[in-house]
Amino acid sequence: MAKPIYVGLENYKEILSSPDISYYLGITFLLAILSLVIQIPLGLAIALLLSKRFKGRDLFQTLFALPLGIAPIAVGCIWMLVIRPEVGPVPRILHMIGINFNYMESFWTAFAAILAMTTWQWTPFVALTLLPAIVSIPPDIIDASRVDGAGFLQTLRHVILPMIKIPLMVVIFIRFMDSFKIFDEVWILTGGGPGWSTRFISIDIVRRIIFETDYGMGSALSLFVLYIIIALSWVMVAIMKRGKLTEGS
Amino acid sequence: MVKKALFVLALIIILVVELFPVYWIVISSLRSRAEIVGAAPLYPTSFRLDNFYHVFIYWKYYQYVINSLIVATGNTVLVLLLTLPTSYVLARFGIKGSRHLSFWALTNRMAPAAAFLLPIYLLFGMVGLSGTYLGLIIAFALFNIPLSIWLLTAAISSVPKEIEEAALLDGLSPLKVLTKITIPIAKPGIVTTGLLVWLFAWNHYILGMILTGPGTKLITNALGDYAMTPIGIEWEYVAAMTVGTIIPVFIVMLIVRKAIVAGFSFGRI
Repeated sequence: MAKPIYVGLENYKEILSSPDISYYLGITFLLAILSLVIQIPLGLAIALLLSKRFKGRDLFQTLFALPLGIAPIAVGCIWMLVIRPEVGPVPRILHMIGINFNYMESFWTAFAAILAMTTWQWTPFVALTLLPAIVSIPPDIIDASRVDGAGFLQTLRHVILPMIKIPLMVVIFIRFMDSFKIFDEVWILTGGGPGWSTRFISIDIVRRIIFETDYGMGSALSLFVLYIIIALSWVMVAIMKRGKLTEGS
Repeated sequence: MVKKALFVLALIIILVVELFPVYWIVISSLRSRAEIVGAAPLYPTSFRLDNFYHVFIYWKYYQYVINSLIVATGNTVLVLLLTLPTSYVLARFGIKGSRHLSFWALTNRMAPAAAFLLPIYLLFGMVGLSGTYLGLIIAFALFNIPLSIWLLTAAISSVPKEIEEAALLDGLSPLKVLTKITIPIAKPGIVTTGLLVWLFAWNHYILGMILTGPGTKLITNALGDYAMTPIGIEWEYVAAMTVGTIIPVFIVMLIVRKAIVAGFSFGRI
């Protein structure tokens, strides 16, 4: 290891001014936000479906939850076998209807593949977190709003959503943070490519520390990310406290 | 009638989407490479265990499975030993600063493991924990202690305080109350917590990239290294390794089935 040189706040200056790092942070935030936009409504819809009693619901839930437990590194391998052009059934089926799909073609195809992969793994988590809250809503409240002439969307907005506010905020927070730190499955599926276009911030840090031995920037970036996480956690705790207060009143 | 048919259809579509990739990796792991690259049909075509034999016995990948078992189990024991008393105190006595402790746990759980890579690498290297089981067991506590504190605090809070008070009045010492009354009643929650802690340790990848040595490589890291080959991926072996990594997870998930069916409740964070 080379002798360390004291550079003061140079590394932080570089983080704030480097276009590369802004790009990596940008796509990381984009992935986290798009994950929420897709997975929260989808998970909510599935939770609403599951809140009805039906035969075999327990078995359904157990099978539905299986992807949740799979190691992200294994998820990357599974998706590689499903969507790589040489071996995957998905590109083959798309080819039959005239679409040539190679997810490593451009940033957007790789990004879409990653988004699909995390949606596949984590939507069950969203659904199963919202489910107990939805089930615990007294049915007469929903019936009452129906009798008052509220449609489904109105019931959802004015009755169901306010009653599941806290678990909803918790699951939004957890999903945002988990998407923000995504690493393993992307590492396998795209390796940060094509051409570093999917180098999310965790991938950037790992590459700097393990493969490029850029310890100074690596640790400055690590701390920078920790500040972001702490700030977001603080906001989250504040929101939850307010939510609990208004609920009590 | 139509409504019911749509309902069932929706359930079937959800299940097919969620299970198809898993199904595909399983049938791929039983195929030869020629079949995998040769546009094999969607139904199972062969049932050969050669791939598993080749990877886990011939290449001795069972060693990595054993390493993962040792680290995940050791980590679970360490985490439960440390967090059971912590959670008990957090659930029962409002100690000063407990809110800060919970907040610290929250941020630690949410921070990317990548952000801890360098300090852990340097520190563990200095004290000789790099490449040892103990190093991995301690490092994985970083994200598992917060998780365990959350879940155990909720599990212990659900034990009625009155039972403990009654036992105290009957002359049991506080420690006896904890071991003879509270822990047995909270046992289902503790078991679920332990299994989830185990699962997260088994599945972890990033810290293993720098902390495992030749003798302590974990199955996730072996899988990652193998699947990262830039050219000429041996798909059948990747599939077999992946299935080998997943099987223990599915067993654990079947054990905690009850918790899954009840849904996840985070009301007490």
